Amino acid sequence: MKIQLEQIDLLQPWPTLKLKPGYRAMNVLVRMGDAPVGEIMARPVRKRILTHRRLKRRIARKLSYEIIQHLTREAMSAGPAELTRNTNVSRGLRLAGKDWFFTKRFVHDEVLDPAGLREPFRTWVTQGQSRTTFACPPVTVVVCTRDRAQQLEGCIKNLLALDYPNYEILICDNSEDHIPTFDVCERLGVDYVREPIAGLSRARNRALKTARTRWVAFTDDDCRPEKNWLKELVRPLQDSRCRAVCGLVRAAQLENSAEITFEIYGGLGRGYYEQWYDKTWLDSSKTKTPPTWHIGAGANMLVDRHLVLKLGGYDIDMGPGGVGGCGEDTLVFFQILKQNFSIHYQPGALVHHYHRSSDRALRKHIHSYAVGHAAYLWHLIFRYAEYRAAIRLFAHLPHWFIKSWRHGVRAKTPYPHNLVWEELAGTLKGPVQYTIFKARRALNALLHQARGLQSAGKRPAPTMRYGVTEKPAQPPHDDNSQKLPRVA
Amino acid sequence: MNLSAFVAEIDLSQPLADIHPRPHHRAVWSLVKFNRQPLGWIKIPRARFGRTLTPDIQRSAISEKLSLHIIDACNNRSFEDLASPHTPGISVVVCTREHPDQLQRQLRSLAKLDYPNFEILVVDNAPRTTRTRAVCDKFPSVRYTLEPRKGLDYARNAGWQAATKEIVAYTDDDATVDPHWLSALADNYREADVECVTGCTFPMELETEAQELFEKYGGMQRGFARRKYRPGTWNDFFPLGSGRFGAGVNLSLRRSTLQRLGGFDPALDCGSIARGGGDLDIMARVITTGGSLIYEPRALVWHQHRVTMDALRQQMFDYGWGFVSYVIKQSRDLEMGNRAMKMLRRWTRFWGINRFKENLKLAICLREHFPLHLIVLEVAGGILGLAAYERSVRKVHSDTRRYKERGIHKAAA
Repeated sequence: MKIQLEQIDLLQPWPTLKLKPGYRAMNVLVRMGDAPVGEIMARPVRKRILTHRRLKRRIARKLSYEIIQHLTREAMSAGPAELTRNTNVSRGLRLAGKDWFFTKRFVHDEVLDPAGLREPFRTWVTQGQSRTTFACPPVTVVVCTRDRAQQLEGCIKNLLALDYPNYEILICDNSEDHIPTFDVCERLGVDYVREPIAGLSRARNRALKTARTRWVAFTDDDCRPEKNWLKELVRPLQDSRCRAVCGLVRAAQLENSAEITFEIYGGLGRGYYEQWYDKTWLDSSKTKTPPTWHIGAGANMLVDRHLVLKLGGYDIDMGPGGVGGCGEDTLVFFQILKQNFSIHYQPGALVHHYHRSSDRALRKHIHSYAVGHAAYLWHLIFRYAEYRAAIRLFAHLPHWFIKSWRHGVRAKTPYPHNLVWEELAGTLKGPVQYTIFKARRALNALLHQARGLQSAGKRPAPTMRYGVTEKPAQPPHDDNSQKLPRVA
Repeated sequence: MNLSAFVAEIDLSQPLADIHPRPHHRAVWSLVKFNRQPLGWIKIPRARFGRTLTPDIQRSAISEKLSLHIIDACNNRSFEDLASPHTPGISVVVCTREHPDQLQRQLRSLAKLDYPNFEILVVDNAPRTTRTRAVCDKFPSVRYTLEPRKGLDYARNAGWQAATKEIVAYTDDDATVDPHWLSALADNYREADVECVTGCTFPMELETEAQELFEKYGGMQRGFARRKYRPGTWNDFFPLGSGRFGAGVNLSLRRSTLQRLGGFDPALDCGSIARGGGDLDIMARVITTGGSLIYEPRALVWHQHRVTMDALRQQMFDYGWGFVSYVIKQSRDLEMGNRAMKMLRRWTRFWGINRFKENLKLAICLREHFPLHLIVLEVAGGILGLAAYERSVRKVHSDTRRYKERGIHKAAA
């Protein structure tokens, strides 16, 4: 099955949306200027054309509140003069506290228009988007890559076109054969650093140590960031306690069942609403593990370099290259929240991600996600004495597996039941593998000590740096006057 | 746990500015206004902004909560000021008893009123010291009146009897008023059938747990929509639900109406045995005797809620007590008596038992809940206060006789 991905901008005249041959449905990302508002699914049958009439009705039905939200927000940014200058007066109309129907009808009749947004809403949005200002600190964009020079090239090209005043790009190469990646970087003129030992966490730590700015944005080589990605990603930094920001990840294509299944599995996007998390969120439930994996994905995040390095960086035993395919970024989120800092989710920062496109790769991917997730929970249990993680691992997850398997078998959900087995196997494997990894590391350290080596458990890694000018280590400056507590 | 919140005001007709809550505040509660029209509250947790609440965050929080209200305000042009204001004379009556500091704060805010035609009367109720008098002397435009008999409704009656203007607006000493308060109230008296106008009352501060809990209880807010209650529009819960009309802290009436009704019932409200219900009673009487009542959200008063938990407990108990006294008074009416008692049983069931059950469930699940003992206290106040109104009436009679014999009343007047 293939799903066609389309975008429409409500400010511009709508294009004719035609379902191409071979596609079954259409997923339309609705945006207002740069800002994504939401998405709708449609399956046009007649002539395979999604008529403007139907599109308008569908948008009004699904996204009317989001649209009104964006409109008022931009109107407030545009200023009081714009807000009070309403030429399109429908007197006596009340939407608040009334039936939802009236809001939908208002959006359908008076806001949406296939020729672009109606006035004065159009002016609200254009004025508002041009008048919004916030500080843009210098950012290093890091792409950790491993043997995917071609995909990396596309990613770097998008990064070079970013609309941001002061940013630099750093490619952290984790490849076995570094020549093609290096060639790409040299050709496109971006900074390059090599991490010879395989592992995403190691690569990220290397990048964090190499970067020169406080804020480091991570994305993947299979991602295509939008032009305003970075600008939106730093927007929540107005929160003086914010130390990490995550953004929206949308599928770049849904060309086969593996990609679609990954979206059904949960995908990497976290919706079209701003979210924020802090310690109170972490402590909000007595039985439920705080779902730090819901905060965002490592494919689209911004972190404070100094804080993450102070926390010990990404755990090199977790994540791809360690145990499982995830868990290292969720662990860092957990630690950041534990330190009483906050994390924001900003849907305006949008990247398009190419999912795994073969069934085999997807299977492996989901398996490794399950391994990583279980290892993460295991880590929480033993490192932070999180009894809630134990509840999840031993009660909630088994219950969820049984439920989703039964639903899959009875075809109540499109999520394939045989993937549940992969998840179950991964969940069983995770804690075991994590324990083995940690035990091995401890044993190595002991052996090294016994042999009288100074750097126990720490091999000096040979590094190669190209393009990165050496700079003396700066003391981390904190724009907040708060002192960081020491990490155990 | 520290539950304090910073109370702020955002006006959409002005460019937004940074808000700096103090470090101990856990959240910002901001009233969003569009010129004079209040649109609603937004509550922004500290997690969302850190140190300074910037306009960008304010805008996204407002649009999440109040976007429909803003669209309504734009469509109906409710942010516009009136072209030709209606300005009848208004006497502002502040009844006070031994709160000189709070009274001074209130008088300062009254001095900033933008209304052309008003006078300020302070009624000092059964004073023990001369401190209130001293405060009033600092403000030359304030008229001081003494009411020796203890009781808020005695003081209110003394207020309207001493007033010289067409309309009497009551407020309390533990509140402050918005500069546009009177102009918003006055405009509703354009219509001749309107006899009573009430306004919106917001928390002045939310520094302690008690104040936060009082807001959670319902506070004194009655919504953000203007509403006119005509005689006959309010009968489904009569005599319950009189609280939806407003509260005594922000209440105005025509003086002619007060004359017609014989003023407030001195057997009710603070200082009497009945401990409350005087404002409910007068609003109910206005409606039942054929007048209309308007709830006007543009008329803003900021009230300082009880600071300590002990005071809040006392207040909850008195609320139950006073409310029941008011219902008992209504039940003396031959026509409505049985209905009032039936409604009282219903109040006990819904407001006491059901609410207690819901919060008990939340408490068992370790979820956030309204303190159960406050619910119990309110209902207990209601049960214990069943006989209070009779006693109160008897006391008022004997007091009146005594005062007449001694001639103190005349001396005071």
